[in-house]
Amino acid sequence: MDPDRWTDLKDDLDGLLGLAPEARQDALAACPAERRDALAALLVASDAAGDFLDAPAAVLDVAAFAAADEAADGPDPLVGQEVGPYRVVRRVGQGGMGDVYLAERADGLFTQRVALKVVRAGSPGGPGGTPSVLRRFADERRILGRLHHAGIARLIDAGALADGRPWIAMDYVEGLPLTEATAGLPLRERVRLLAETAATVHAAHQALVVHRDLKPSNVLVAPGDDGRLHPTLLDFGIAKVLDPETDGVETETGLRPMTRAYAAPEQVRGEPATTATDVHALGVLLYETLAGRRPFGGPTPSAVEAAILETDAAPPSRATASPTAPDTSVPARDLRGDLDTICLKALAKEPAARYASAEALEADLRRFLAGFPIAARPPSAAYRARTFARRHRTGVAVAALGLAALVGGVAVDGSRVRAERDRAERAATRAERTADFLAALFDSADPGGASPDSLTVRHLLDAGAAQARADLAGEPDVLAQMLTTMGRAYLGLGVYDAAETALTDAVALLDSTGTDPLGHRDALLELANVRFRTEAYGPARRLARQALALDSAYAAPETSERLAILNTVALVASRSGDDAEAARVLRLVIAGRRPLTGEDDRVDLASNLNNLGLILAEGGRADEAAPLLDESITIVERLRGPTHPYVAFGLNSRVEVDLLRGDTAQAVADLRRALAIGETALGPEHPFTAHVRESLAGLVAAPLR
Amino acid sequence: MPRPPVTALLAASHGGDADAAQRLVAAVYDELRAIARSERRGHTHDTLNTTALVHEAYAKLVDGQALRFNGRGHFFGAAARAMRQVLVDDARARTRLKRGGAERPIALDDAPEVAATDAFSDGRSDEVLAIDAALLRFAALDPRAARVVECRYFGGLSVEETAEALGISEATVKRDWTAARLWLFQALSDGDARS
Repeated sequence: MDPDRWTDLKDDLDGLLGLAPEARQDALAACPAERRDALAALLVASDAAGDFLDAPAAVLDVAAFAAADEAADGPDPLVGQEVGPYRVVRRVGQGGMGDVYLAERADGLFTQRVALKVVRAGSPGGPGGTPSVLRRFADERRILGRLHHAGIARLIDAGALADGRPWIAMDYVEGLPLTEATAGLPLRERVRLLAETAATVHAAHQALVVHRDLKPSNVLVAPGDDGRLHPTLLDFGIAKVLDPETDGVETETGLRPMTRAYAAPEQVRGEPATTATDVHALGVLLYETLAGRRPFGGPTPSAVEAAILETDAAPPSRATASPTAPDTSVPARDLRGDLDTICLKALAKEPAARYASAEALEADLRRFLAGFPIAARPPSAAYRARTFARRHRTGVAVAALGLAALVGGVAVDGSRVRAERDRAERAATRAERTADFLAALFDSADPGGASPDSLTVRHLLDAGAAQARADLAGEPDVLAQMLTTMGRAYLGLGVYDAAETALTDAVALLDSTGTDPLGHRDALLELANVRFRTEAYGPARRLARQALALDSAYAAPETSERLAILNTVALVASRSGDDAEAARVLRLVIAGRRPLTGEDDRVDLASNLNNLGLILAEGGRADEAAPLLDESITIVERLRGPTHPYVAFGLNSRVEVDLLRGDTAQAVADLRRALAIGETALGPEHPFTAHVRESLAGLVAAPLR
Repeated sequence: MPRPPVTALLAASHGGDADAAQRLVAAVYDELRAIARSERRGHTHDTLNTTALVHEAYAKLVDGQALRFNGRGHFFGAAARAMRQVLVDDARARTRLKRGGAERPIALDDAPEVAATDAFSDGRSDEVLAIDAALLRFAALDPRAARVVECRYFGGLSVEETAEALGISEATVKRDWTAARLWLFQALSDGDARS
């Protein structure tokens, strides 16, 4: 049974079991015929199952653990007490300023869970300071009331305990501190969480509230309704409420309610906090999230302050390259470049040299995630080339399949494969799913108990696609990315019907959500390539035009994707009889590619050269075509080796030139070599291999005729 | 071996890091087995109390640092999976002893103690093994519901606790449990003929 069918069965079963037993048979008759037998069997099982599985094999006593936690914490005099309208349930945290409790509204009117922050005696806002804390709370409350944001815990109430210590009630938020939650997460997920955090901070800045004390324990991360992790920011505005200095009263202690390690130079100097202060703190959080350590450290508080004031932070890539770097840090090679640049810009000593806003920082993080040049540095040619190289870096098996999708002389852009794979994989193989997912792949492809070696890529893809559809039904964008990647892989294997199914579904999903225009573009382009390959040139042209429109609207100009789309447009034009237009567009594409030095860009260039060469040769222009084709073959041989499919495509194209020049012997030699490569690299069944075999047979047979 | 950073693993596995989830299960599993071994050396005839066992593992793993919020729920998901491993290893060892196999038991250091102890599920070895095998097949069809069975059957978690452990709603737990239970029942009924 496939997972889709099982999901339907489950729904039907749920409905049937909800009915009185005597009504079930009628309802069963109304169920779709193809599921009726299976449902009937499950209903029989339901009657026969008795106490099956009712007795667990082992019992973990959850309550005992809760009690143990209480015991470990020790008794707390506040637990069980009433504070304002709340009853304190248990202590959930300790901070420099005081303790945090989970409390519930005790007046019985309604259930409301709050986090109750009780300022510790001796803190700046502590006893003696209470009246001013409450006064500042009243002042701030109006402003904080404006902060309605899903990512910000609201400030609800404030008061004083009998002993004079002030307390503040906030939304109760579940989650793990940012640095704990991100340890072990993939790089891109860490960056995404930081981008979301920056966006939330910016929203608060828009409401004229500065946080002033951003640190990991104030950014709690938990899965949202969409199954992805999201940050919630705590204590917005609290620092100001608790800070005596906002009263204009100087304290002798110098204990400002900020956490030193996350403080900005201007805070250390005792100057007012601004939005730039929060940008600096976001820089520290980003740095720590990536490198596993903070940018400024020291054995004593004053050493930390000195470092903040005087030391330029080492690039995070250098921090993680050190042998003492924690194992939760990201490899240095992934940080070098953009992420180093972003961190250091956010951490600039001068507020004016930092990002102008939290939003600008967020934008750069998003650019990094999308593979576009970041704004933090003027994009020199060399820098842009590096960005390209990263964007086009390809990874493991799926990416390799993406590269194999270079068939019949058409370049399917191999870019974004890695990013898609990362994103899709993360969602598809979330935590405990991985083992099950792999088991599913092997199970479904291996019914007879054959060795896993007998699994074919095709089988894995089929099983993976079914699994993705089942697992990711609730995440259409992720599913669409997965389907696009798989469609591209099918295309590479020459399995056009499966490619078309996957990509058509991907396009439909992306069309309905409208939230991932660049993913939509990619799916459209791949589908255009499938249609081109199956000689449906009208639909291919329309799809490529749609992809181009999305790219123009949402992507930076001159991306590799744009060039890939234009390449397809040219091929379709050529096959529709307009070789002049095809050649014109291809010359533009080639001109756009030549300056790019990334390895994938060079290989893409080879493909473009091959396409132009082939069109020219078919038009009888052997002398113009020959150097293009030779260059194409040479590039691929050098970068990918002499048995890469691209070499075969180039050889196959050069046959046209050979024949124009009347050199049948050379043509046969080129075809034989192309066939040998095709047989090994693409397989004997692949359409390209079959085409070459036919050509060769025709050519060898012709002289005999 | 250095103590695994369990709180970090919990956080990461909760965040979707598959590798961390597996390391978490491995850490809990190792700890459970280590404790089971030392228990058995000390008291040959003692019945192993599974709660105490996991409890001790929990205490050791988190190093006195209480796990709150999502952490604890997630720990139980991992503990249920580790418990499944322990139970299955134990059941395999028993079955081998019964058959008089010469193979060394996987779960335990020395075989005679296996026979002597009334550890987890004496008399239920066959059931544990059959359900484990069927659950492996079922996971291919419905991984989430398979996790629900793992929590409910191998960990004895309630519907509410299972929902917390897996981060899904109680209604989903109930639906998954009902369907999975019937599928497994059917598979085991059919399976008698098949195997």
